[in-house]
Amino acid sequence: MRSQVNLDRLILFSEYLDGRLHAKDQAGVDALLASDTGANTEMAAIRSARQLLRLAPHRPAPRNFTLQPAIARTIRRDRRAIPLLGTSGLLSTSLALALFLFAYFPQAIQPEPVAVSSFAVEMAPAAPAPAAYTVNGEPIIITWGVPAAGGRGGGGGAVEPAVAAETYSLKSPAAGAPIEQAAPQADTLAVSDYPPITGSGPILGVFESNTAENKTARGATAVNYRGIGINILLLFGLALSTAAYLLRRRRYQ
Amino acid sequence: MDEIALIAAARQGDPDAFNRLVLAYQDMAYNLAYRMLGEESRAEECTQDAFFAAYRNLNSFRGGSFKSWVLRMVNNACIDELRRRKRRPLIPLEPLHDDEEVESPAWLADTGPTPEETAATHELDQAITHCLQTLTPDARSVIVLADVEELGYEEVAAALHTPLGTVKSRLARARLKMQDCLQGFMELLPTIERLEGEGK
Repeated sequence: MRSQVNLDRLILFSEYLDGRLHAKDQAGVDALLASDTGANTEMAAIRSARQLLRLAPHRPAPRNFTLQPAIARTIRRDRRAIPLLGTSGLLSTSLALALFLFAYFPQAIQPEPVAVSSFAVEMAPAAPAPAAYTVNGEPIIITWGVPAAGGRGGGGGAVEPAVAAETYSLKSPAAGAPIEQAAPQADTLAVSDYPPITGSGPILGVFESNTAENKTARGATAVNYRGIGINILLLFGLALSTAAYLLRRRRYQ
Repeated sequence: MDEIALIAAARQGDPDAFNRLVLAYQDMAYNLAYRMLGEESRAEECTQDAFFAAYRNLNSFRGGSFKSWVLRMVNNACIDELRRRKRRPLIPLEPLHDDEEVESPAWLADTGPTPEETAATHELDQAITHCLQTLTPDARSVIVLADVEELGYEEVAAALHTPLGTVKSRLARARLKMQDCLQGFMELLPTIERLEGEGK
């Protein structure tokens, strides 16, 4: 039966009991109560619940909730930091968003393609490099240090170096300039004649300048998905913290 | 010193001014917390948390009724506590079988040698506390503020940051539900009313 109770009528009766109706509406409710026994029952139910609740004993506070000076000082210090944190949260989110856009979507801001790898320039086919790096049409194998042996990797493990060591300048030629080429040594060098390996391990036939400039240039052209992911997570975290701060502010207004 | 001046002083960092406001509203705040949570110790904690939050966020108070604002802090603290409790439910000491509670409220009986009137008041108090827990937290807040604390509709709406129409409908429904729950205690009404009459 309760589920069939008309909510509007229930609200009307509730307001009637709280004396919030205008005289006209109040008279209407009085007339309804005089004629409708169902309405009378409903009204009686609401009235008795209201009455019982108003008769509920009031619980006094068991102790004082006043703030101790030390606690007040701590809270006050936090209070001063809150607006600062909120502003910094907003600022850092905006900054992170701007950096993200600049770093990963440069074309959105500047339509012309700007990222040109210096590595690509160095290896451009216009330079006479291909001829310089071949001997009789065969690609040169450049060996750094001692060939693979004794646990240095690279497979094989041959004791005698089968490949004649030829020294070439590894500097990339300036555009249009002839490649300097050292005269090949005729003799085959013994293992002991090789200088000791220092720095990087053996790289065969690969020319790669690892200068900071080249690294930067490659980074500009390659899509760094890991970096994007980290940045998105960072952005998400900042946005969340800002939203939490704004919600918190709304809650205490 | 009036309330506005006390608030201004508290904003400047005067804890004594804030403490005077606390003393003015702590009974009402604790009573709301107790009715919301039905537990004295938790109500005490929530009231304290609410006053801490009020002091911390005093700069967010934008005028209006300070009482409503403080009660909102208490209500928020209680809602947070109820959410925590929902996530980590506690085992109550009293039996919680619905049929047993309403039909034979044996656990509500005061076994101590108290006078009849005190026992009736105590039973009513327990019954109200129990029946309030059957309501949703939103409905509970409204009915406690409107009927137990006897705040006006506008004050309730301000305290709960809720539209007036929502307050009205929640209150009407909550009253009906409370009546269903309190039916077993209606016989207490004449005794209580008599006591109240004598008290006045």
